[in-house]
Amino acid sequence: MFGSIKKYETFADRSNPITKIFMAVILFITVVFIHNPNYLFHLSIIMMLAMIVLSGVKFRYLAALLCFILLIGFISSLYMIFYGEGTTTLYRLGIIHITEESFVRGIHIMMRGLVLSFFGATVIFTTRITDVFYSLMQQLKLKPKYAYSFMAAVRMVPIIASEYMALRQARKVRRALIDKKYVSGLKGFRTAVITLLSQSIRRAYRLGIAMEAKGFDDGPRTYYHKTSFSLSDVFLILLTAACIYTAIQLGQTAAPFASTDAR
Amino acid sequence: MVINIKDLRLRFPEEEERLFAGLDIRIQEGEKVLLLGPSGSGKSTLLNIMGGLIPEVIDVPMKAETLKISDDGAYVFQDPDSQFTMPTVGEELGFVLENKGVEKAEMERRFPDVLKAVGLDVSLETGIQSLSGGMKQKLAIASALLQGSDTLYLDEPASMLDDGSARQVWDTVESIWKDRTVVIVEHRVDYIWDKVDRVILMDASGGIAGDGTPEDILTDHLDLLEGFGVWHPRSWDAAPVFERTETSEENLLKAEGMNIRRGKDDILKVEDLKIRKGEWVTIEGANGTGKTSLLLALMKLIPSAGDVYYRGKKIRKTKQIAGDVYPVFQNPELQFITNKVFDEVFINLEMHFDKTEAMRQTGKILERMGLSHVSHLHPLEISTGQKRRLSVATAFGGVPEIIMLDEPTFGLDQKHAFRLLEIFDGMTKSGTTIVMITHDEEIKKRYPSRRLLLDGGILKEKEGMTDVRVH
Repeated sequence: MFGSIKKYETFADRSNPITKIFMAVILFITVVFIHNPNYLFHLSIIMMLAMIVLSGVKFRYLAALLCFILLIGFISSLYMIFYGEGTTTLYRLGIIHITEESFVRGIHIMMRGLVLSFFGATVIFTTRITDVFYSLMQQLKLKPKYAYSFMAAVRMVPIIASEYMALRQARKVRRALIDKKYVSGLKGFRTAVITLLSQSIRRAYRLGIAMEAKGFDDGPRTYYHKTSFSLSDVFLILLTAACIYTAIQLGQTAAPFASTDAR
Repeated sequence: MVINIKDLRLRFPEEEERLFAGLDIRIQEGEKVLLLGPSGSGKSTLLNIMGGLIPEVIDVPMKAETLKISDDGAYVFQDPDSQFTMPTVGEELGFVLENKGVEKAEMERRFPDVLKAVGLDVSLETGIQSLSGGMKQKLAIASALLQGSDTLYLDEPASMLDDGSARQVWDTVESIWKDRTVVIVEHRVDYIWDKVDRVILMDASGGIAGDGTPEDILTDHLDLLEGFGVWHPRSWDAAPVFERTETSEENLLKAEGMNIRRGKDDILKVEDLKIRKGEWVTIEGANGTGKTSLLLALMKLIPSAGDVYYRGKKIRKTKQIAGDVYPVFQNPELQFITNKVFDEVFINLEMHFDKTEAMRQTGKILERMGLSHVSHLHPLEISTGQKRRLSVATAFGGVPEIIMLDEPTFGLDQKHAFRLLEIFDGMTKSGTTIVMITHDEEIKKRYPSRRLLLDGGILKEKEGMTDVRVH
């Protein structure tokens, strides 16, 4: 999916999607239980570097994504910074009351988000969506019926998007000749949705028939893409563990925050 | 005998009449058979019964005294976009063999052979989305070959392709059909008519009206073919012929120094295009040369460099010319706005006339387009040909000065295509300008007053055309 913007591949591309999802869950739990903002500070920087190195995506796309993640992270921390409880006042304006405690807590929440976003982006950039379903079928024994339905659905997404564009163009032209009530507001929205849905349902029905005509059933099958666990998975697990360990060590020596517990 | 069906009876649950009432059909091993008939004659349904899709996959109640069919038939369907499950060529081919439990090493041994057999020279990692329509259909044929079946069922495999790609797909079919039984449903028959062994002509009520070699059908049943309004090799002998009219010198639409880009590539340059009042202009060019983009750019629906003028006024936004210049796009479904066929035309007219007059005119337009009997239905539930006609009909309501049509006769049967050409002729005579993108050689040759060709990213005047409109 990201073939056009990728420069190189690493072991992260070769590791099993299930390992990545599993590591993401582990990381989520770990991050929730880290209360020392110093640890999180280092972890988010390490994860950012990991994303830049491992994703293999061209830097200008990464830079755009970085700005986006930082902005969203900052906005999400504002609520806590402005309205959180605390005793040491830094700034007060109307109902906005920034205290040292609320500031640290806000930043802490933002860093949690950053760590997970960076790791998530790495996973998304290094995983082909079809591989997810292949390994769900092969390693976790998901029924082919569900896996192939999802893969077929993924194929439909760009088709639906281009249909939506064509529909908008057609309406732009037609609206000049008709009463606006037909294309604006709820009515316009409803007919647009009905049209797109009906097109998709018809296509899905035809595809279903085509799949069965090609002999697809829910029974045992062989696989063109074999997914398995390999050394790459071990590397990924070790790397994630090393990131967390390093962050904790660094957090004890170089501590940008005075507080060690954001709660 | 590969297929032997006797006394077939079938009724779709929502229909009142039986589609088949006692149909008999036999097909010998190795025969190449073309099923022909008007829309609604049950060709595709019959094809699905022969291949065992009905009633196994599509649940339709049916009965037959004898039902001997080949149970391992492979299909190629009409729509390139709704017959592939996987994102890449290799995975799609793999999908077929995975279903049969073939091991990976064996798959990789067989892929190059089938791709070569259908003349598809792409890598296994190629995304299906990036293939052209013709290439997708070749891939569908390759998948069918991998199924290892001796019987192929082709359900209008070339009907959504332009002439060049259609020819290639049929050449491909012909190159692989030796030793196989092939049953074809197709309405564009020019390439295959002489190649099949047998034509079965079905009538509108699901019976067999004629059965014989292509030559026999053409000599014995020409009246039936004409009556059903289906395309056949001699269709154009009876095509409408129009008197030539002088087009006025009045310029309506002008484009100067137009340049359309996609990403970093220039896809199309138009130095100087003038469209005059009452002209019938065709825009020609192979698939992917940017004909549709040109139409969108003239309407200011996609960005382009250069200027577009309408009646001397510079156009910056779609709003400024929408209404005077009216485009009809390729996907009829996406242009419909209302819940009723009647309303689709009516909403254009209600702005110009009082209610009774608008209703009367709507009725007239629908009748001319052969849509009266479906005027109460939802636009999305009528047949493909009917949808295309309805999308064109919406252009007649608002009385635009220029109608731009993206392949308006595509997928229409002979009867309705000719009717549409007559309507276009009438419109140009009353001063409306017709600009149409078309792939149909016969139309290009016979009707336009001027032909434009898109070649190598540049729009040119096509010279040396034989003008058959002069009498």
